Amino acid sequence: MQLVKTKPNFQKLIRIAIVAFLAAIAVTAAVPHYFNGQWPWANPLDVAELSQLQSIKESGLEISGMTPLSHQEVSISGHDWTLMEFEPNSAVETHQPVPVVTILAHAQTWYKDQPEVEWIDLAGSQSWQTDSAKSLTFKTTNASGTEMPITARFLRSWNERQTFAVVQWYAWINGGHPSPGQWFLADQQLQWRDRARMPWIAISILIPIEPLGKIQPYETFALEISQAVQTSLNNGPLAKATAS
Amino acid sequence: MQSFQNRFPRAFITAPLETASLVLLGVLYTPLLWHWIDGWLNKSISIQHEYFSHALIGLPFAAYIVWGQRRQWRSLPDDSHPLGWGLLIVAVGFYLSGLSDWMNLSFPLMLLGLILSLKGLPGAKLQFFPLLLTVFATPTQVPYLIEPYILPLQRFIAATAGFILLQLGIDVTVDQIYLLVNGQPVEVAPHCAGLKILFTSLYVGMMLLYWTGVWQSRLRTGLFLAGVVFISVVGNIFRNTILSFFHGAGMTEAFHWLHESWGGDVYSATMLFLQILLIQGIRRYVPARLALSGVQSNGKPPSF
Repeated sequence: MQLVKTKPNFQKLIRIAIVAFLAAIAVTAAVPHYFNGQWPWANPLDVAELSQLQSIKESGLEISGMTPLSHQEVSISGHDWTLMEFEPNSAVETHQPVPVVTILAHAQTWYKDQPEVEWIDLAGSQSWQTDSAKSLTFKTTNASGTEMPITARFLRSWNERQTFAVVQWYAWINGGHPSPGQWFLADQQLQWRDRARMPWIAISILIPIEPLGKIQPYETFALEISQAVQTSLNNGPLAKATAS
Repeated sequence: MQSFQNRFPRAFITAPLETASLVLLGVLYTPLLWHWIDGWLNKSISIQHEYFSHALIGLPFAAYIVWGQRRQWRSLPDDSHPLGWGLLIVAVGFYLSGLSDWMNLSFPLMLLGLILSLKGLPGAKLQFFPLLLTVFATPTQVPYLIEPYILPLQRFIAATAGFILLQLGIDVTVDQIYLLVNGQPVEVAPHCAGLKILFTSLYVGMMLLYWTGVWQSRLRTGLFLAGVVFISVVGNIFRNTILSFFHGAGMTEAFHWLHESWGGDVYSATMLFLQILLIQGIRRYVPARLALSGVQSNGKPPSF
């Protein structure tokens, strides 16, 4: 700073240069928009995978190691979720046999839809009490062989009718996490890098367990299913759409 | 109009760089600011954007302060701070990105960059308050990012509202952030939990602190801001209590009136009016600083 202060001519020059620089930016970046009217905010980026996401609603998911029993639409706190029931092909040993696994999926419906309080909405709609929450991490690979680290939350939820071991995460392309903030980061990265928006699907896996039983014995089973679900999403709804 | 036209060329002579910068800022940002204003008036952009609608009074107030300080600004020596150049480059990068969140952010960065480039740190010091008003008026995704963390506040509001309804003899069940009156659930959602009115209250409170000069006393400022948060939270408890009652009693029209019609505006106006009463009360009854007579007799100014 001292250096700059002692040279008034340099001072004046740099100030003029700054204003000239701004003028150049204004003329090249803003003025053309005044003529064509196409301001960037008038055409926000869209989610290219929106129609793929809707396929869950129509045909459910195919998950390896499990036989689909049913899928239907349910409304939870005003949002549409797809409720799917599966019968696990008992390859993984659990504390006691699991006859049926329920998967709830809610995919974003348009680009303004951002993950928010899906886990609270779900717990509220089922009058669940929850505890024993911890994170699960696992890896899956997508069609092009990219390895994707996923974090999910694993917890116990119960009401007077039933106790579940629950796995929850927001799934997106090449990633997944239960926190909306992590999706936000992935979305911002994609916006800067590819000028595209990141699609997301809220996934909740419900494994019925004995009333108020421990969830720890179901952890390996939960991991296997979670991995299979994310793999199914990678190859279907979350397969990266090529820009059209 | 006549006097404006006469003044305009003169401004170019007396403060050419400032005037040119203002014109360029106008070219770059008028359409963006217009887009913001349109979004606030017509609620057409997003809930996150609506969190910043206090800018409708904040930005004109900031402009008014800057205009009032124009002589002080001109009397500052010319000085270009390198930080300003860096900020300008970042701001231009954000502007050129074409991504609306970042274009929004480029506006306060560009302003600070220009101020530092033209008058250095003393310039930034002079314009500190208007800059603060502009920063908090710039729509960002911050409300979206903090919403998941205000769950305890939502639970607290739901529990307290439930308690009040019970005292009134109304059959109510509280489950986390849900109030069930007659089996009708009302969710205390993040924006319903008064995050929006809390932000607006703090912003207007900031303007009141500046306007009345109360900000010069740390004691009065602290008391006032604590009072603003208190009024906002208590007001919200009452609002959610009444909403749950309307919903549970099947008074759908009354519910909509308070929730999204002009009943909400009456509520907000009441909150802001209480703030004015609060700052007047503080000015009248709270001393600018807590001075102990023993310390003062020493001849030393009391300090915190």
